[in-house]
Parts: sequence; structure tokens; C-alpha cells
Amino acid sequence: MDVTTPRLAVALLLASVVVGTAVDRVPAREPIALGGYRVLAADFHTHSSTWSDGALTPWGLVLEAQHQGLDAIAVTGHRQTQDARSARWFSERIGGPTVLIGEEMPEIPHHVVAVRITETVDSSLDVAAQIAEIHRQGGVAIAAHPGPMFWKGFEPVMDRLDGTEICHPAIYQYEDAQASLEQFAQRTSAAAIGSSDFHGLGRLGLCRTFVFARDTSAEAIVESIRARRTVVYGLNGQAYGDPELIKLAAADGRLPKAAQPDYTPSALDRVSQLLGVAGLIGLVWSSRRGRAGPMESPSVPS
Amino acid sequence: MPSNPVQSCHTTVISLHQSRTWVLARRPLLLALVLGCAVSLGASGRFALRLIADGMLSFAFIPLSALAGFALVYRLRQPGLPFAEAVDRFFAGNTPWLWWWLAFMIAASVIPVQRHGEILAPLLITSLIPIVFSVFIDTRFFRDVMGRNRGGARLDVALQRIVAWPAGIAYFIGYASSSRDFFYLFVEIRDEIAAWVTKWT
Repeated sequence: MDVTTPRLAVALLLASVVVGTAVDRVPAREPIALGGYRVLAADFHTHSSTWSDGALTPWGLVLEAQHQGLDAIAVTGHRQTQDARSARWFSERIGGPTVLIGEEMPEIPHHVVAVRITETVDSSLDVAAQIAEIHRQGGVAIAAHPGPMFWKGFEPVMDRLDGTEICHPAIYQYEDAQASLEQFAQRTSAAAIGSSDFHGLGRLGLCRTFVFARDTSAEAIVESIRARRTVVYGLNGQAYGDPELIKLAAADGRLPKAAQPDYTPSALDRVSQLLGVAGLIGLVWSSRRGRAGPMESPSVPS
Repeated sequence: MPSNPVQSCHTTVISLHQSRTWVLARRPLLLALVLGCAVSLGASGRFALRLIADGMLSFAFIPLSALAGFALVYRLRQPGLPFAEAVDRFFAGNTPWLWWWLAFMIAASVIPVQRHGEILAPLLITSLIPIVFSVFIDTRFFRDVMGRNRGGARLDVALQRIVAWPAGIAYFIGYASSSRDFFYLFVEIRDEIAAWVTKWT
């Protein structure tokens, strides 16, 4: 009976978790103030797992936002706000980032992200009525990843959108994605928004919005979006948003750097990856049917 | 106070390993652990305790829905094998999926973060491999361990999948999704695969 392989596998996995957890720290950050405003790094399009198709729980999302240096997130589950409420409850208790309650309405001709709403929007309404309802609740409506397949769906409401995603992870995946998002944004006066549309792969805040707000409250953040006081950095560091604020940020230098975090794994990250994968390979190998070891009790016939 | 704490601890561990609860839980827990590790690596590039635990919680519905499907079949067939051991044997059929998740983790470690979206289409396409393999393995299980004939084994595999897969998918997509969203999900999957194939051919 081979007990060495599974024991070694468990040891490797434990070592990997020890190393990975030791490196897993919330980055130290100084608050940024520019032009009399507090500059907040925000991600307005995220998904959690409990009642939506994300990989992290609402509270896991809040913790991850802290680790990714975000000051605010909108939790935008598909057609539900329960996850956002759970996330906000948790974040208030731990002194975490500002959590805005939102939802994504994934209709076939258009996806709208509603941010800072109080209840879910009736999905049977047409897009104009949906946006009117979002505004009635005091929230803002953002065009989610408005690529060419969604342009027709947004035609009736181009002048009513509060924000449009001009930076979305698709710009790193498809050659023409950045140009398409720019083309859409030029046809609307909506605020430039950068969002990760995080479901679990990639990084929360991979694309982020720098909001120039009076304070860190949800109300102030939404007011900033309505006033178009946002700056977003897209592919190759191209800046979008309020021209005066872009100049201010460029002169200061901190925002362009903060917008492009270095995701290169550190040496300890690589150690954690190698040890962990090796440990899991050992565990899966040991657990194959008919294989003896801690995964198979001696009393169970093979 | 035990005279030999190390031996006492060792005896306790052995007893735990032989307990029915451990036999019942170990392979579903392994599946949950692999899923949690995949979440941690996909979201952060490292194995961090908070993300592994969070991922295990998020994806607990997968082993639970598989267990629910199997429990129904077990109740209908009532084989001589105790439930805990039957579950343990059945979940061994998940091995192809565990290897598949390991392959995903290796890909997520190697591919730059900004291009992680490109993993999605290959992930979907290659999922056919564990889907097909686990059907073969589970058919053998229902035949050899549960004592069913070939036709009965195939029926039991289908029954288990009919319970487990819709329950898992419905929970994952979310209770607020409509049947239209469910259909559109497959349209999005098709478009994602088509875009990836176009890009690389």
C-alpha cells in the first residue's frame, strides 16, 4: 500500500498554500487626491457566485477587491441584487471598499449594467424604460461591453446612457475590440467606464475606472459618473474620459501607473504554483480507483 | 492524559480514515478542493487559503448536485453496497474532470492574465473529453459495482446526469435567469468558440 505519494502530495499542497497565503497581502496604498477630488479606483461590473455565475462569493469578491487595490466595486449579478446586498453588508463590517448595489440586465440586443439601484429592474421592459427605471431609483445606466453586436440595441437610448465601457478585458483578446468600444463611445456623451466583468478568470479590476468623487460614498461615486468625472486607461495606456482630468492625471503620474498593475507572478507566486500543482497531481494520482493510500481505507475492497 | 500523544493522534487519524463519514466525504471533498484551487489560481495566480476556501464554497454545488443525482439512483436500485462506499466508488469516476481542471490551472499559470479570456473557448471544447470519459467510467461502475446489466447501467448514468447537470447549471446561471437566458447561454458559448476558432485558423 503506497502511502508515500499521497503524504508527499498533501505536504506539497500545504507548502504551496503556506507560501501563497504569505504572499497574499493587501497592498499598501495612499489615498489619491487631485483637483480637489478624491480619486477612487472602481470596478463597476463584477459577478459573484451565490446567485450568479461568478467564482467568488460576495464576501470573497469584497476581499479580492481589497487585494486588487480597488476603492469601490459594483456587484452586478444577472437580474438580481441579492449578492450585492450580501457584499455591501460584509464590506461595511470589515471597513472594506464601497460596494454599490447593481445588476446586469443581459438582454439579447444589449447588456445594461445598473449601478446603485434599490431593487431589480423589470427585465420585460424595453431598454428605454429600463434606463428610466434605473434613473428613477437614483442609479446610473452603463452600456456593458458595447461591441458591434449590441449597437442596434442601444440605438434608442444613446443620449440616455450615463456610462459606457470603453475598457473591458475583450480589448486584450480581440484586435478590433478597443476600436469598437471607442467607436460606440464617440456616439454618446456618456462617462468613460473601465470594468473587468469579473466572473473568476483574469483579475478583478483588470480594467478599472478612476472616479473623481467628493468622498467615498456611493452617492458621491454615482454623482461623479453623472458629471462625467472619470478617467479610464485602455490598451497601451490610452486615456479616455474628461480631458481636463486626463491632463491632471498625466501631470501627476500616479493614475497611469495604478491603472496597469504588474500581474507578472513573483518568484514566490511561481513557487506556490509549482508546489500546488505538483501536490494536486499527486493527490489526483493517488485517488484513482483501485489505488491504495490515505484516499482508500483498508476496509474498502479495491 | 494519553501516555503517548503521537500514537494517540495516529490512532485517531486511522480511525477517521476508516470511518464511514470520511469514506463518504473524501472524494467529493477532493473534487471541491481541486475546484477551490482552480478558483484561487485563476483569480490570483497563487494558492491562497482565502481564495481556495471561497472557491470550495462557491462550487460546492457541483459535488452536491452529483451526489444528489447518485443518491436518487442508489435509492431506486438499492444495491448491497453501503451508501458511503458506493459514493466513494462513484466519485472516483471524476478523475478525468480532476485532470482537466489541473490542465486549466497549468494554462492559467502560464498564459498572461490579460489573455485569460482566451482560455475559455479551449476549456469549453476540451470539456468533451472528461464528459465522454466519465460516461464510460460511470457505466462500468454501475455494471461492475452496482450489479446492473449494460442497458441498466446506461440508464442509471443517464438518470444521474439528468438530475445532477440541470440542477448544477440552473444554480450556476442563477435563479433569476429565464429560459431565454438559458438558451442564449448556448448561443454565447457557440459564438465564443467560433471567434476563437476563427482567430487561430
